[in-house]
Amino acid sequence: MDRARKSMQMNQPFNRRQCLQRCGLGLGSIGLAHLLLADQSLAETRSSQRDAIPSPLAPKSPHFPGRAKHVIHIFANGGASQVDTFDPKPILNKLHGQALPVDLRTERKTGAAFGSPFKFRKYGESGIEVSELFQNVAESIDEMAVIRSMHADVPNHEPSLMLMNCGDARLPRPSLGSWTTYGLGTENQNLPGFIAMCPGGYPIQESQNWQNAFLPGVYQGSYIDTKHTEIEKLIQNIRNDRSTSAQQREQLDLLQELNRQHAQQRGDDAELEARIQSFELAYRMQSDASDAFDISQEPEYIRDMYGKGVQARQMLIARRLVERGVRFVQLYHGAGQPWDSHDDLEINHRRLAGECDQAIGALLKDLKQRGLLSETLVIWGGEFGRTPVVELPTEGANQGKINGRDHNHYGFTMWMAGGGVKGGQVYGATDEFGFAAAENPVHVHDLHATIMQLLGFDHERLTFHYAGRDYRLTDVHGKVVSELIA
Amino acid sequence: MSIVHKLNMNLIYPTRPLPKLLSILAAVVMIDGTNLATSTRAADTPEAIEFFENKIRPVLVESCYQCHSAQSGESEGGLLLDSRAGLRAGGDTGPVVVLGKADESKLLSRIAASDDDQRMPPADFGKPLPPETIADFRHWISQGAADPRDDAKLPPAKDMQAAREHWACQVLRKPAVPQTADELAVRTPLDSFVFAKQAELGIVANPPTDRRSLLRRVTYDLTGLPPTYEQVLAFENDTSVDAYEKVVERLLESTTYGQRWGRFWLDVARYADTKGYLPGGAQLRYPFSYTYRDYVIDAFNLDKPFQQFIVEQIAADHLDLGEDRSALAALGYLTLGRRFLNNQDDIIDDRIDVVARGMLGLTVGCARCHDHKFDPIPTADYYSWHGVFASSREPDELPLLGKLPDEAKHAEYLEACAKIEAKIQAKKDELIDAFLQRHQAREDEYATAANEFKQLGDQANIDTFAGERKLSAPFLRRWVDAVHDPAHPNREEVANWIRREINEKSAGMKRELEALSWTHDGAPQRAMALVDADRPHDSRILLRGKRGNNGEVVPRQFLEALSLDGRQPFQSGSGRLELAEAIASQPLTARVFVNRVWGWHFGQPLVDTPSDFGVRTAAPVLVDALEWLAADFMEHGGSIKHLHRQIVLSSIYQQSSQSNERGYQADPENLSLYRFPRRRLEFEAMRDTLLLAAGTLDTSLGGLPIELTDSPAPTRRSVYGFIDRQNLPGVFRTFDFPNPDATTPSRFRTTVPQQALYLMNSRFVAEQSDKLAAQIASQTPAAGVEYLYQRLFQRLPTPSELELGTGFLADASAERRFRYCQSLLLTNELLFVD
Repeated sequence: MDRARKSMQMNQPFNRRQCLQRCGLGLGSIGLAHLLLADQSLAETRSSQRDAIPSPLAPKSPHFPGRAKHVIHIFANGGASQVDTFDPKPILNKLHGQALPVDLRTERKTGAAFGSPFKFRKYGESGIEVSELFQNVAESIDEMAVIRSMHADVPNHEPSLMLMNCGDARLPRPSLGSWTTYGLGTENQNLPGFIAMCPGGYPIQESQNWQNAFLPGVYQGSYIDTKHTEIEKLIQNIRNDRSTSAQQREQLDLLQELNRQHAQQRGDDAELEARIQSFELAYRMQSDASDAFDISQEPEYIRDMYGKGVQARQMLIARRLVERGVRFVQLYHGAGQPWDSHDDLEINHRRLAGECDQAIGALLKDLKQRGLLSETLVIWGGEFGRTPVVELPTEGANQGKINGRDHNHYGFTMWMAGGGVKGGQVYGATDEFGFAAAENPVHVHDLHATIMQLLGFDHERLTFHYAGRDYRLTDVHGKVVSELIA
Repeated sequence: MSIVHKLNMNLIYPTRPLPKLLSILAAVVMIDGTNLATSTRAADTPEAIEFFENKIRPVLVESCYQCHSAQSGESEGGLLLDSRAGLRAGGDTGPVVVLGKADESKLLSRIAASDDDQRMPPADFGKPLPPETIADFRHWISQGAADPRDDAKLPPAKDMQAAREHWACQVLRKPAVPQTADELAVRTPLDSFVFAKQAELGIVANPPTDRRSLLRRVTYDLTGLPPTYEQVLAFENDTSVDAYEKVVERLLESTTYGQRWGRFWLDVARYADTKGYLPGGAQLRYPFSYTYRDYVIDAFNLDKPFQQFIVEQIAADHLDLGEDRSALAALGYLTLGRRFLNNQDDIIDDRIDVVARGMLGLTVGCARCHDHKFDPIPTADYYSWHGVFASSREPDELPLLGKLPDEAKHAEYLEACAKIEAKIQAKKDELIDAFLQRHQAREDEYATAANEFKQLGDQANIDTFAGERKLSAPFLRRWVDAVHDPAHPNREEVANWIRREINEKSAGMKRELEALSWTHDGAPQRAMALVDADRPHDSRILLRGKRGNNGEVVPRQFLEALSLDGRQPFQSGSGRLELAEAIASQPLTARVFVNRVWGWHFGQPLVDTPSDFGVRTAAPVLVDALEWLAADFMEHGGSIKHLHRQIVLSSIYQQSSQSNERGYQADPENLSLYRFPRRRLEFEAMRDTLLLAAGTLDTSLGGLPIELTDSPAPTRRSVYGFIDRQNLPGVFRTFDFPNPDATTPSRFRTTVPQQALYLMNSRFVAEQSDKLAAQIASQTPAAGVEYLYQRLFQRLPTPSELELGTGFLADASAERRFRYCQSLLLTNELLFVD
């Protein structure tokens, strides 16, 4: 076979030939053999072993030193309105109720200009305007790069979620978190490397949002329903309801003795050894994972800082996870598409922001005070934004109300902070009404390319050979927006 | 090469240019370098070249290359301007220069355009070119667009001939069987090939393994289950020369064989029971997916000839099946993919891919957007297949399979359907009535609004106008158009206006109706079939794979590279049968399948890219063994069981799995098979083994899928588990179950702590441990340990194991028995096959 082709893939987590040459697995390990021997101390005690195969999740170096080591992606799923949050357009209030000279088709019928019911004011040294909805977040505005010129491809939730998460609107492709853990591994082998949290169920498009697609299963996001507070409901099989820890230890000791006798009769076999070690890791994972999700271990002033409710809890969990070395954490606001304010926008956006503003604001400050912000990339945004014009009622929908906004993929806002992002800046702009990206447009592919760059990857070179070609997150697209990088 | 050339010359112009952002297209159009490069250079006089160098080239470099050059890696709109051939070939929307005719050349019209959206370079890349530069270009094109640049950078044209010389495309022939030093050790010809390769490397295969290991190996291999202790004893005591052959025959005759080997093929077929994500509350489950799964298992059990197996899965509806319609279920191979929000091009792409990679080992899918980068598969070939599948459709009423259910039950089923259908109709009527009542009550408002609207003139938008007044736009339209009796529209018309609401409110009932197919025992089994469209048609090439970006129409036909004697467009219907027959008769198809079977036996195929046998895939180390096996397989009518015998009866297969130091030094990857590769059980075999240990495994055949994660655990074999491709339960992913979104060449094999957590803490394993523990409840610890070792490992415990076991069980409590049994179920010995 063509070895050159394989070696072209940058940053492969495991080069098959190298693996096999080192450990003598022989035919037993097909293609991409993955074994977990990441734990240094364990690996050392087994020095008689021919060679440990690197774990698929062991920490790996990117193409060049990355600024961001962790990512927290806060997903305002459903699509938050840019003109009500981070992209002030006072002209809409002046023209409120009048037709705009813009003819852009969105999902549903829309009408006249709809001025934002929310007040904006300037924050920080950079003086960037933010609406009252995110007044807590805005206190960290000097850390944030506000991208006002985001755009996507279509005004529908499903393809836009797929595009934002996986770089392709329709076809099953690995998610951003999967690519990140594929490229970088993770720093804590006792926790999943990629965690997707959503309280109360799945977002639209469900677990495809954190799919590994053709990458190995270890790179799939682990879904956690943060509605729950008990650890056994958060992570499958993390607790044993039959045995105490001591009883389980005794059981494992027996198992490992039997396994050792079995292995001795068979000579060196890294695959047998890896499986022996995986039980030790699992044993420790039980307590470590429980700790990570237990926010009652936080001092009261920290819990007060994040506030009450499920958003506060999941933001705080996100910080605890990142602190423990988890590579990629994604948080959805809730099941379905909570930010999808087709009607009663004022009430709904106020409620939604009320649920998360304090918590996100606290997360930024907390990361900063712990020195984690500089290496943690925080991303906020929806799969698209909303129209600056009002949505007209549809039979059987929006209860005949005319006080919401439709989906808008032509222009919307996302912000990033920390992890090497140049804060205190507004990048790009929408047109005068906030409808379409007009100045320095940033496509979702460009955002992905930039995130990859911050993580230390050339987005064109982090690839995986599949179905006859090398695939990458940005497919054949994507330009790094260097202005966003400090 | 002519096809590729034509592709660029006969482009159809789209009616309007694509928005710039949509035309970001990076892959390079393969153009016929030879033809273009050698086309006349008469215009290239020294003066003309000097003009080019002074006036044209600097502008191209400065203003165009950023987005249109091979070097920058950008080819916006498929246009490359950094070579003579690229410039002459044009882009996705056709040629950009018409030699001698500047005014007809798009290059000129685009740089001279006054419209910002049209003009090149785009506003954000630079200022418009000055008038004098535009005049230079006009002059240059009028004079024949002299261009001395060489075309060395162009990708080479696809060489169909090279493909035909590719090892994997050759006619199958049995290579001569080599003599080996140890003829006594040769049991099947395949041993001779392997020994010869080992002799070259100076290594010697391992000795035969012990009888217990061999029986355990071959039983797991052929059935996915372990032998019993009694079977091991019988085999150890059977001194007849054909003791092993008898075992192999017994296993191949067992229906558990098809359950094991059918599952391998289901990996290739990206089999799942659901459609993936669909909006609008649609039913996500396939009603009869399982009939395909059962077809596959039966095909293996019945040793269906391989070519027939292939043809049925693509075109069973074209075959004369006679009374037995069961083969129609084979079409699930095509129809059971993800539904991609019902995007037809993606559904077709999935079908092309599962056929091309799954059966032919070629990545035809790569040619959806551009000619294949490595293999001689032009985009035209992709759309030839696209036409075949676009000319096929799923019938409105799926064909019945085999025997009908009990008549009385069937009648009940029909009644249940009718009941739900009536409910759906009632809901529709109710919504129409509600609409009419609501709006008819405002008749006067409508009359007034219509007058008002008419006064606004042509500019007014009735949707906006009505929306702002909370009126129904189509209802208002009747007043505006002054139709007769505007307040009483036709009910179906109203249904159309409120279709969205009707759909939303009846989605649940529609799901319920479809679900009767699997919830009602009077529902007949049907095939997830495909039939030809009423009017089969060829497809147009979609440039860059984009709808609306039309290229030429290409006939429905087979791949050019594999059509040795030229090719004819398919003649009959959609052409699926001809496609199926062409695939089934390819030597490549046999090689690809034999290589897969080898991989499923040994854990690693000979060609380690089992779904990619393209020209860049070199012949494997043991190529002669593959050639011989593939030729022998086809000589024996494509009997898969014959193929198994050739492999499992070999010495190579029967050797021990102990490490082999000399072999390791010479061939660390064990490509020459000097030891049998030890393997961990796949997810299905592991789960089945645990159920078997518990004494509850149900090995019956066929039927509806079951939810494997239910508790208490269903006891059927794992191959009958329900596979939801959208939200595959964590345990499947944890244990490397293949991603059911696309054909799987080979499963990943990972070892991660989540697997250990599942085994240590899951309810499923605890349940099985309890059942196993119950079996030794009344025994002494020593007897219990002995019993468990016989049951689980088909042997007696060693003294040390006995001591460990009796020590653990000393206090004879139920909980300790439980934990001891669970420990044994977690051992490497149970979950690895030597």
